[in-house]
Amino acid sequence: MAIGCFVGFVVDIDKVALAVISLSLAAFFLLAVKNFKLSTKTKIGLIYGHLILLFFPFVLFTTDFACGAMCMSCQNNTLALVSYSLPTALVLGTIAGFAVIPAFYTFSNKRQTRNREIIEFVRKYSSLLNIRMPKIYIMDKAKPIAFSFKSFRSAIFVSVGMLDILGKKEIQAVLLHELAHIKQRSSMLKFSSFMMNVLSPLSLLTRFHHDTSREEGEADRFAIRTQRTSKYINSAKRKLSEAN
Amino acid sequence: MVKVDCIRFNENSVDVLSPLENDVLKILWKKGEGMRVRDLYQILKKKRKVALTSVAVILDRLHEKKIVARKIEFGLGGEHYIYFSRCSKSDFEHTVVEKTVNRLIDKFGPVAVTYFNERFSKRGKK
Repeated sequence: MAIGCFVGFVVDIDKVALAVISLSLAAFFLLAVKNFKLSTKTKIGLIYGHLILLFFPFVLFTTDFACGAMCMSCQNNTLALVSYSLPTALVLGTIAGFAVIPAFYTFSNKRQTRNREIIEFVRKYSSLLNIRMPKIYIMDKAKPIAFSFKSFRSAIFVSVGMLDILGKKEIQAVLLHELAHIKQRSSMLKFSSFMMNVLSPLSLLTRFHHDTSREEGEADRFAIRTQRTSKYINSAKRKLSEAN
Repeated sequence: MVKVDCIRFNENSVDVLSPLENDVLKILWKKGEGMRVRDLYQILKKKRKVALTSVAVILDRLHEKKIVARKIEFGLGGEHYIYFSRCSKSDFEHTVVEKTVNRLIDKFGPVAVTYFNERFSKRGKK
C-alpha cells in the first residue's frame, strides 16, 4: 500500500524566501508593538499580523508535506501552496489572537486597583455568583471605559477616567454589569467577535456578527436586581456615552 | 511643547482655547497645584452650567495638547487623575506668540520679516 508519492520537504529557494520574509515581518511587527507608541487598535492589529506571519511558514511546509503524502499536484507548486496555506495561517493567527490579546491587555495594564472598597465589593459578588474573583486592573486612560475578559483568568478593566466621573454607586453598577458578563462567559466572545470584524483580514470575506444586545440586557438586569434600582446603571451608561 | 492648533481671530480678541478650556486653565493657574476633575468641576459649576463629563473631556483635550499634565494618584475614592498646568500663564502666552510668529515667518517669509521690522522700528521711534 502506497503511503504517499513523496513524504519529506523539498526546500527550494521560493519557499525559503517566503518563510524568511514572513518571519522577518513577524519579528518587525513584534518589535513595533514593543517599541513604538501606537494606538491600542494598531497594536492589536500588529499582534494579529505577527501571529499570522509567524504561522505562515509552518503551515506552508506542512501543506507541502501533506501534498506530497497525498500525491497532490500542489507539492512543489509555490503558488498553489500559498493559496492553501495563507487562509489556514489567517484562521490559526486569528484564533491564536483571541488567546494572546487578553494576555496582552493583562500584561500592559500591570496596575491593579488598591481600592479596598472595590476589591471587597467584587469579592462579595463573585462569591455570590459562584465565580472565581476576577483581577481588577486600572487603565491609564481618561476615556471612561470598562470591560472584562473571561480567558485563562477573568479580569475586569476600568479606566481612571471612569473612576473620575462616576459616583460610588455608579461604579458598583458597572462592576456588577461586568461580573454578570464574566458569569455568562460572554465577554470573550463579544470581544473576539468585535476584533474579528474590525481587524481580521477574514472580515473582508465575511462579516462575523455576534448579537450582544441580549447579553448586555442580562448584565444590566443583574445590576438592577442587585441594586434594586435602574438609576445607577442608567446614569453610568449616560455618563459613559456622553464622554465617549 | 504646547500644541497650538487653532487661533480664532474675533472682532475684539484672539482665542487660542475654547471658553471652557480657558476657564479650566484659569482655575489651574490660580490654584497653582494639581487638582482632581471633581474639584475643578465644583469650582466651575458655580460660574457656568457645565457637566462633570465635559470637564473630564476638556482636561483630556488639554492633556493631548500638552498644556496640562496628569498623574494617577490613589486617594479617597480610589485611583484618580490629578491634573496640573505644565507652564505658567505667561509661559503659555509666550509659547503661543512664538509659535504664531514662527508660523507666519515660515509661511510668508520675507514679507512677514519686513512687516515685523517696520512694526518694531515704528514702535521704537514712538
